[in-house]
Amino acid sequence: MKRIHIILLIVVALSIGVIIAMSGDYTTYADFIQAKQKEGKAVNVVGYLVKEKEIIYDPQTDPNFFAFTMTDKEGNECKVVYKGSKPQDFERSEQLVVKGKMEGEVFKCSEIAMKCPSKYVNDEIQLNEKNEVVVQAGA
Amino acid sequence: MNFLVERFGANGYIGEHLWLGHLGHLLIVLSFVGSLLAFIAYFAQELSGKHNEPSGWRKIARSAFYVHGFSIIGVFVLLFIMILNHWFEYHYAWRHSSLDLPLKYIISSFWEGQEGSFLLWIFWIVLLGFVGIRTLKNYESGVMSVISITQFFLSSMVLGVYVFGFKLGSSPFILLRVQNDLREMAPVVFSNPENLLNYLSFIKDGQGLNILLQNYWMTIHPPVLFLGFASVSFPFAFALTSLLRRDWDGWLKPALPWTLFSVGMLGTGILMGGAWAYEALSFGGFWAWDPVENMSFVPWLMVVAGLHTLLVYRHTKHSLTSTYVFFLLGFITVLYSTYLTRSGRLGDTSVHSFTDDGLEPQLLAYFFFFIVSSFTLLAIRAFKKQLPRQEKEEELWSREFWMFIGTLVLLLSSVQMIFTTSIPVWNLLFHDTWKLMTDKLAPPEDAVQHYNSIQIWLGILIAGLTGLVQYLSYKSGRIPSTAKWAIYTFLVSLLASFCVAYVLDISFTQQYVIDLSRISESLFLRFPFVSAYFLFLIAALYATFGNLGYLIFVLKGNWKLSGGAVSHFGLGIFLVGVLISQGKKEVISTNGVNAKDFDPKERAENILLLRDSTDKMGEYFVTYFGQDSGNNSTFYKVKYELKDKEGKVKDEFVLAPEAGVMKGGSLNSNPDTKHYWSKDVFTHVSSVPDNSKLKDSVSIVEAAVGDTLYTSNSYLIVNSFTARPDMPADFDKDGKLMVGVNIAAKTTDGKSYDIQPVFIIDTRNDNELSSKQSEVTELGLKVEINKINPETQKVSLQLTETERPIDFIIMKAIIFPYINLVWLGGIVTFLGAFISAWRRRKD
Repeated sequence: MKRIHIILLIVVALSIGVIIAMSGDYTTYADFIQAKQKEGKAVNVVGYLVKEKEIIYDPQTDPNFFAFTMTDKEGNECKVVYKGSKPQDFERSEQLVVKGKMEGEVFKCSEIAMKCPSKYVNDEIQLNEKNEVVVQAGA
Repeated sequence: MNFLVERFGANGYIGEHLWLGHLGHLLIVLSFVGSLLAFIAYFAQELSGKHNEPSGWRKIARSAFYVHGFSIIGVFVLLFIMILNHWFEYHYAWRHSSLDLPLKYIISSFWEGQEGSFLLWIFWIVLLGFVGIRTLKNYESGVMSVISITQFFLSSMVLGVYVFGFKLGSSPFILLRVQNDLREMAPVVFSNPENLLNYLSFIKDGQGLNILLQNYWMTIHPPVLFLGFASVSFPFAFALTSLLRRDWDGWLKPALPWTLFSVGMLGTGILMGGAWAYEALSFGGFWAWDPVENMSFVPWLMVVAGLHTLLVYRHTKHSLTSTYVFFLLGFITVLYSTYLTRSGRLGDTSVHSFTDDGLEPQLLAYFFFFIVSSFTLLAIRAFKKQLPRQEKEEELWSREFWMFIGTLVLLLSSVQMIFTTSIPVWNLLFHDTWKLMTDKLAPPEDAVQHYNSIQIWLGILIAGLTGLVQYLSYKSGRIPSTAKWAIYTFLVSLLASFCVAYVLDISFTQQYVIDLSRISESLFLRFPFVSAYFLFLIAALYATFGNLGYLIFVLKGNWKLSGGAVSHFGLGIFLVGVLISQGKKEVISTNGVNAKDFDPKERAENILLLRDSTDKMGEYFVTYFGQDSGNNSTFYKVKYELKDKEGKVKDEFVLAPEAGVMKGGSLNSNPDTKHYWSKDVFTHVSSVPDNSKLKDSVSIVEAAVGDTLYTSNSYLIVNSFTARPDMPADFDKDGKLMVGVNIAAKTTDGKSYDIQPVFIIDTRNDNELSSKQSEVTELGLKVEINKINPETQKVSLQLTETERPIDFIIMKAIIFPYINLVWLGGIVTFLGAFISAWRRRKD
């Protein structure tokens, strides 16, 4: 066996080792019930903001505490807290992906990703005031 | 003429410039057909075997490629005309630009969209192709047939025609009224057919450019990056030509300058992306291991690996197969990254991917066509044992052996990046399609840690090899006498590492934990060892000093040969900069208040600064003192002061991070940074108070003369009634009865404002009642008379208090030490590549 073969074997072994070692880093997508079963383990929950419930962010007392209520895609509600400032435009989000861990009844998240309607599909036509007047008269 | 009006005129719609779209579509189709024809003719010449003869095929091929190229240039110009003139009848101009954009951002809006960025890519390949036609000589037919077929696929992405009901590509010349149903978008206006025909007079402005992209980096980064991507096709095309012709050696010389150019250009593009992310985005660093970043980095690593094995093969006849594999992978990974970022698959995991435009099948076809054809060709050559083999093994202490090891390290590094970045693909295959996984995979909890913990070891290997390998000689494996400098410079690096680590407080050892809990419950191996950061520092400094030594003592300043050593020297500086600026970055905006419910060890990174109040952050006293308004945004002015022991200001500067409201209401933030040679102070606004939803509080009170009323910030004394209140000069007093109430509004700090609301009865008009309100803007107070009761001599007053806006910012401040080494090192690295490319150009 040539040296090169030994090296290639080592590289293959290393790659497999690295991938196995890495796989422990990956998280999974889950709903809040699954998140509760895996309490303390990081998961990603996809869902929606419950706009009727209170959104707590009072930067004057603590600019790094933000809490809100979210439902996952199955409709399970859960309180979510985030250590950081409230993302801009949070109320307008269409969909949320929160990454974090369940602790007791509260989901503590380390990252919030939002999908906002304005970002790519906001194809609206804006009209100036004059034109609106014209339309109202005509209609 | 009538025909022209009908065809290119208006269809009844007023004000459209339809000629541009028609011409644009025509040119796109022409370029598409031209590239196919160029491929066929070039390929025919290639197969004929007469590579050096100016045959008929070559004439056809060149003409077709010129038609293709000039059509693309025409499309490019037309798109610019459309955007520069704000012809919003075109969806692309409307969607990506607006009237208020300055020229440099209008240029940026050209490549904000999917179509424009594809065009940019195609355009660069056209220009490189023109250079190729003039310089490639007997490689022209082979290389240019590969280039033409890639152009064929690329121009299909902007074609925008329907073939058997399947939409092929997405054209930048689609009209707004075709892309969107106007009647659906604004039903009230456009249900009127007259308005519909005149719709352009209602479209006053475009959607504008995302404020995050309104940065000079957005003007220059995409062109450079896409030139880099475009250049990667050339080493790939050379490799395929060589495989096709079974010409193992002839291609090396002409391919080398193209490869070096590619390494330099793509590298510069990626580095600019990092600079942009650092300067303009809120990542808090120049590299976030974002999927899109990774997928531009991997092709670069592959081309760099290919460059090194190519040099090995030229000198030793080893590593030819690896060279092919790397050049093939370089281009294939560009296609893979194009697929990932433009199919919408990365939507969940990346901050800057495009949305799905229905291009996925085409992108997949592009990817599979090239991966299958190129690797099939390589496999045929390999299995037929046609590839030349070097029977003699490399010597252990030869340059080629360790260069080869280095390229394997680059491959390993790419494997990790591709594997993790492909999570959406694994989910698509193993979860959605084959149902082999019960849970959908998601990116690691801490992506930066995930990558760093592995890449740092590969970085140590690469940096170490970079310092050492040039001192070894090819083939013989005998250690040359100059190799003593390898040892001396290593000792210098070791010493320097101890000094730097001591000064900057980098720990020498660290506790390693190996998680074996999957083998046995709570089994963890723990052991202390030299810290990875310290090893990285030694290796990076060795890359710096080793190559500096090689430049001085071995090359003795011979610049002609120095490209490689200069590049590796730059790489060393770059890696030192990466280590220090990222490893020792310090968030100084921590304010003692820890987030509730969270581990108090975790530091809160945002701080609240009230207007005109000062907070201590790190060694600075920081004051938020004012605002400047920008283009749709606000600059929040923050003063940093450094004071000596007596409290005298030693140094001060003002940063103005920007936060702005986009059309549509979303708020985006642009950081600001103070640059020193030894560190950067980075400041970013994370949040501003939402003063748009301030509530008015209304109260109604009965009052008589002499009464005192209280508001939240003042008290009001009702002084007297008057029948002759002060009214504006143009007020028609005829037939009106008026009662004014004289009120003094006083604040606790002694200020007094006189106000006089008035009640009006119009006797000539059925005694119609009205009132004139009076206000004190300083107090946010409005007073209005609701009614007057003549019997009780009382008035009913309506007090409206507007909630006072609070003025504060929530900001983050980070110090990046020695980040300039990153930029300096990067520039030196790519300069080295360009020096080499220039020198080898004439070979």
